[in-house]
Amino acid sequence: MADSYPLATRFNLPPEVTGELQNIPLELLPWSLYSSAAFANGTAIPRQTQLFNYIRGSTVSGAGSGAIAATRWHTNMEAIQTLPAPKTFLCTTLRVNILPVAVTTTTALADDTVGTAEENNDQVDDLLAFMFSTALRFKIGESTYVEHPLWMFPTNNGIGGLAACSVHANGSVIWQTRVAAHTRGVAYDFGDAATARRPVLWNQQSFTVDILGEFATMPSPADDKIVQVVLDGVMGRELQ
Amino acid sequence: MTANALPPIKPTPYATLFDDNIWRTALRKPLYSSVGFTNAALPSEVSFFGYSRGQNVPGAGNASGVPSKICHTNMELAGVLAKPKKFRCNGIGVFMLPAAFGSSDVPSASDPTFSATATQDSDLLEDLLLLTYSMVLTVKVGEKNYADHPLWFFPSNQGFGGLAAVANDTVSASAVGNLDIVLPMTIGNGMNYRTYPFLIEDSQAFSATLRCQFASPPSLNDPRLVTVILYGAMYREVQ
Repeated sequence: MADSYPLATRFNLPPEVTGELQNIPLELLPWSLYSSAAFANGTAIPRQTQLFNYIRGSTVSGAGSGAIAATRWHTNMEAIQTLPAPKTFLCTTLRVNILPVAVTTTTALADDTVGTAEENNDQVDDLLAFMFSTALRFKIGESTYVEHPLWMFPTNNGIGGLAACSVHANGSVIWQTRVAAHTRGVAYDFGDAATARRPVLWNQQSFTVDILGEFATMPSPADDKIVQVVLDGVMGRELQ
Repeated sequence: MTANALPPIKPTPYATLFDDNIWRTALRKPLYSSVGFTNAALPSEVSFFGYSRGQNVPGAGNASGVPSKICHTNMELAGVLAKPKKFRCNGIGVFMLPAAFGSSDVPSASDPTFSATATQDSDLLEDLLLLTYSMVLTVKVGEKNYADHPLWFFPSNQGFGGLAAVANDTVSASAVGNLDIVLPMTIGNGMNYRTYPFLIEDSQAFSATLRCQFASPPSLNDPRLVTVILYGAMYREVQ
C-alpha cells in the first residue's frame, strides 16, 4: 500500500541521491537551489544570461547596478554550476521569479514617481517583457531537461489581496500606480507524468541554466531587475 | 472483506512511546514568534523564537518593547522547547500583520490619513513588497540550516482576498478624498517539508533569523509586526 512506504522511498529516490551508490550516508531534506541574474534598465535583454555560475561573494551574473557581490539573498550555490561532494539533488520543480521590485545595490519600489508625468506601470511592463520574450534552458551535463518559454515556469508566490481607491476630482489629481503583480500557475513539475524521471544532480556534476532572448529586437526593462531561478527538490547532504 | 473493498482506516493511536520511554500525544500546533520593525531601514538581522510569552517583544518600533501576548508568540521558553515536548515541522510561513503601530502596542489601520493634495501612496502594500523582496529567512535547529532562502519563498498564504469597488464623487468634488485602503497579503506555495519533515527535539536550540544584507536597506513606512510560523505537529507529554 503506497501510504505505508517509509519516507525515504516516497519519491522512489535513485541510489545516487540517497548516497547508496557512493556508499556515503546522506540525510534528505526538502531544499531549493536558487540563483539570480541582473538586468540593466534601458538595455535590451541579452541573448544569453547564465545563472548558477557564481557563489556568494562573487558578482551576480548579468548587467546593471544589480550585479553586485552576491549575498544569501541572491544565491545559495556553494560551487559554480555544480554541487560539492558528497551532496546530491533530486530536482522536482523549476520556477522563475521576476521580482516585482527594482533592484540595484538595494531594493526599491517600482514606479516611485507620482505627479503630472505620464504614469506607465514599470513593474507590470517589466514583468510582461521578461515573461513573453525570453526562454529558459536547463542542462545537466550534456542532457537538456528544459528548453521552453519563460511563462511556463510560474513561481505562484507573491502578493494578492483587495484594494480600493478613488481620485480627488478637484485640484491636483495624484494617481497611484503601485502594484504587486506576480506570476500564477503550477510550477514546472518534472514528476507530472506517470513515467517521468526527475533530473538528478550528482555531486560534482555540472549543470547550466540560461535565460535566452532570441527575438530580433529584445525589449528593455524600465527598471534594473533581478530574475531568480529556483530548482526545488530533495537535497542529500552529508551527515557530520 | 471482498477483493474490491477498501482497506480499513487505522485509528490514530492516542499516544506514542518514544525512545526515551515517555509517552507523547501529537497535536497540530504551529509555533510562532514575532518581532517589531520600526519605520526606518530594514534591520541587517533580527531573530525570532528567542523569547517566551510575557517577555518583551524584541526588535524596534512601536510594536516592540512590550510584554508579549498570545498574538505575539506561543513559546514557553526562550529558544528551546520545554521538556519533554518535541516538534515535527512540515512548513514555514512569514506573516506581516496588515496594521501599523502608530503608538506603542496599538495596532491601527495603515494609511489612515486622507488628503486632497498629498501623495496617496499605499504604505501597507509598499511595506509588504519591500519586506518580502529584500530579506532572507534562515531557520536553524542546532547548527543545521533547514531554510536559508529569500523571504518570498515563505508566503503565509493567510489574509484577505476579493474584489473592491470604487466610486468617484464628481459632483461634490471638493469633498472627495483619496481612499487608498489596501489589504494585501502574501499568497502562493511555500516551502513544504512534509516529504521529509525536520524534528526539533526537546531542549534543543532553534531559531529563525531575518536578514537584509543590502548595503543601504530600504525603509518601511510604518512600524510593523512580523511573525514567523513553524507549521507542524507538537508531541507533548501525556498527563
